Amino acid sequence: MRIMSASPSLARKKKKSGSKIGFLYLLPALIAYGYVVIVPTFQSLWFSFFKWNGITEAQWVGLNNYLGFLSNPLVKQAFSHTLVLILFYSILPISLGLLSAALISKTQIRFSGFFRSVIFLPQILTSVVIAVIWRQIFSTDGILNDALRAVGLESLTQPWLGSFTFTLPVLGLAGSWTTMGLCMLLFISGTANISTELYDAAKLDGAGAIREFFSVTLPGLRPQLAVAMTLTLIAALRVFDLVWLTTRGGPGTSSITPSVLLYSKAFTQSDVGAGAAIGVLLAILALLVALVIVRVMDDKD
Amino acid sequence: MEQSKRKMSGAIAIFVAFSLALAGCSPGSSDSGSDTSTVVIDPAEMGDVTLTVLDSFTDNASPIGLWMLDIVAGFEAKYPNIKVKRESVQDITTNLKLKLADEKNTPDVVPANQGWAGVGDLSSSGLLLNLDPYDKAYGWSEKLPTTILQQSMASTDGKNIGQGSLFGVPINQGAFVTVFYNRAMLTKLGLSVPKTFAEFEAAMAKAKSAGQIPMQLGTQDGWPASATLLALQAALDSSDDIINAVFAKSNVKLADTKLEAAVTAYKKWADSGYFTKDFVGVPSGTAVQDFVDGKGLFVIWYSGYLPFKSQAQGDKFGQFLLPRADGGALTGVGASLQQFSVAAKSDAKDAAALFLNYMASQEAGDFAIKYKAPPLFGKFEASSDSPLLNDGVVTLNLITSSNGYLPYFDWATPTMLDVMTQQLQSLFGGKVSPKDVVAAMQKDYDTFRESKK
Repeated sequence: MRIMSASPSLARKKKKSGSKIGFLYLLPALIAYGYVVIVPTFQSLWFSFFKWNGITEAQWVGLNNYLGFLSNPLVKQAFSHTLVLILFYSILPISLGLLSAALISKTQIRFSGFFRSVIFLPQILTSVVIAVIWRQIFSTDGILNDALRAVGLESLTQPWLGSFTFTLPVLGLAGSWTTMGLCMLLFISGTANISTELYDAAKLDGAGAIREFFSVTLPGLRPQLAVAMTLTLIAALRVFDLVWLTTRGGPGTSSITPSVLLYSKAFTQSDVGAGAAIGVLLAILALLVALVIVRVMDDKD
Repeated sequence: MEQSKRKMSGAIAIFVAFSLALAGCSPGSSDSGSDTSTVVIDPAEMGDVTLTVLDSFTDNASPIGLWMLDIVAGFEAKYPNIKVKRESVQDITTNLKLKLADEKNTPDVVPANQGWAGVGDLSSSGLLLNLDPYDKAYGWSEKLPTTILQQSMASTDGKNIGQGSLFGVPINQGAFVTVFYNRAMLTKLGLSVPKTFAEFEAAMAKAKSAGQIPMQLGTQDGWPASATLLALQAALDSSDDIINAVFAKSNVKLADTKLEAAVTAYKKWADSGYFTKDFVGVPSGTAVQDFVDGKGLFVIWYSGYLPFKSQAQGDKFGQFLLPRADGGALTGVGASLQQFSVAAKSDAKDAAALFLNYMASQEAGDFAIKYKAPPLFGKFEASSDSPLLNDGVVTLNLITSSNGYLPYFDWATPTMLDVMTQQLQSLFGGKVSPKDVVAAMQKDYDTFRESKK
């Protein structure tokens, strides 16, 4: 009896001290994470309330850096470009990824492993390599213009990355190319986990391919969809390297993104406060995106 | 759940407190100024000193790296009681402030740039030594061209650059915006180096009709678009207007200057097809590389920054300044390759000032010649075995004799370079007129000056 009553409390005690020790194990990583991520995050928040050139004493301006954005057409333009980039970084690759998942789940394609690796490849390339590749393709003597000339479409050749109309979509396509592989791989592995009984049941109920996709495949892919949306939306929000290594936001400001603006403000225009404020806005947006997606996906469960 | 939320907010509160403590009350709290009561220029009176010199010349095989090695060796030989300890850091501008604020290992001599991001913002921070007393002692103001020396000046209240006190001394090596030309192509086209602005435009027209690219240009990556505008401004505008505008010495309205004429000329050249085909989609690196590879008659670029593989390759090219449209004495947008300042916290200020003086000396210019780099002050003979260097020496002698150095226009405000770039690209894209470009630059200028009131 005594033993019986003592043992649960002992177990609880043990469990409690175990979690403390677990925390100790985490401590070095937590300190490192805190020092390189958390502290700078709050420092940025703090800096965003100042007008500061990075050298002389800063001036407290409260929310003025943020309020200034409301009347700054450049900031609005940068965030409107983010909407365009979401189309290319998120919506397009997810749609294509779903399509390929639907197709592949139905049929056995030869060398599918090879194709999957090829499509996934851009995801593991560094952004500099991606920028160089796309700069080559779309340069004035690039593959695209050469191809157009070869088939007699000389009139369609363009200085693609110097065009007010095409620069942003072209950079967006480069983004689609990089995120597409991730989406496809996520969805294909997701469909593999959907019970075949569901497909059989759908067939028995007389569902066609389209009905099957919307009733079985898509609901079954909800967790993968959440991951893909979170990653690609955040990728679209923080586009920097691709733009910086090609057009730096030009021509004019036709391909400027919030991150490019952040960099110019903080590092070339000596306006650290405004740069930090853009960073804070981006962080809040990314957090909102993640929260909304998690909430929506949870609710449906 | 409730409890974990509370724990979470507690943790966040701790992190906020921690990071704020780390950040200090407000970023960039200023330091007390410096006192330079007594100035010693006699090396013998300085005793045994070790001077810490910070620079960005990390490549010891480059001309500037070799030059710096010679400077240190020459200085130590001349003043045996002073030892020089160098610290070379790439991309120094981003962490110069940290180095200057470092209590223990403050460097004595530091490379602060011209313009707002350099002396402009550092002058009022109390981190740089006001060199006015040393200027009097060494007589830099009398010896060096005033149009160069003013680029190292700033007001102690942080409101102006280009006037006020001296916060740096330029080294005896120049960098300027210049026209490079392909010697063989110029001869083949039956042309000689243009002596007037009209001749220059005629040369481009001739190259165009001969099927050559008159001028290499690539503006896809933005800022390089400004080089040609700077050269055109120097050729068309009054030097006083440019200097007064950049350094806010008088209330210059850009609409009253020849800026619009310069922008219009730039657009006219573009419309005449004088530039690389589809230059808006060409990266500047590609354009200058193509020029070096023999494509194109001219390129307007920064002296010393063309990617020549060897001296022999460089000597296939020559350079000259764009002649002034009014036929007046040559003016060129140029500056010292680097200016150095003395840290306010330095404990060897006298020796540091002596080192600055040495880097601006005739000897320093001789070292530059040795490594085929154009010097900036003094008289030099254009008699080296490098025709390209000789062109540079001739050019610099001419500007020095007319005291015709112009500041880079984008020094006017920290945002001016971006505004110029965006406006020029919009101009080429047919989105704005030359008048709009001038208005946008004026707006940027006014906004910045307003913030300095």
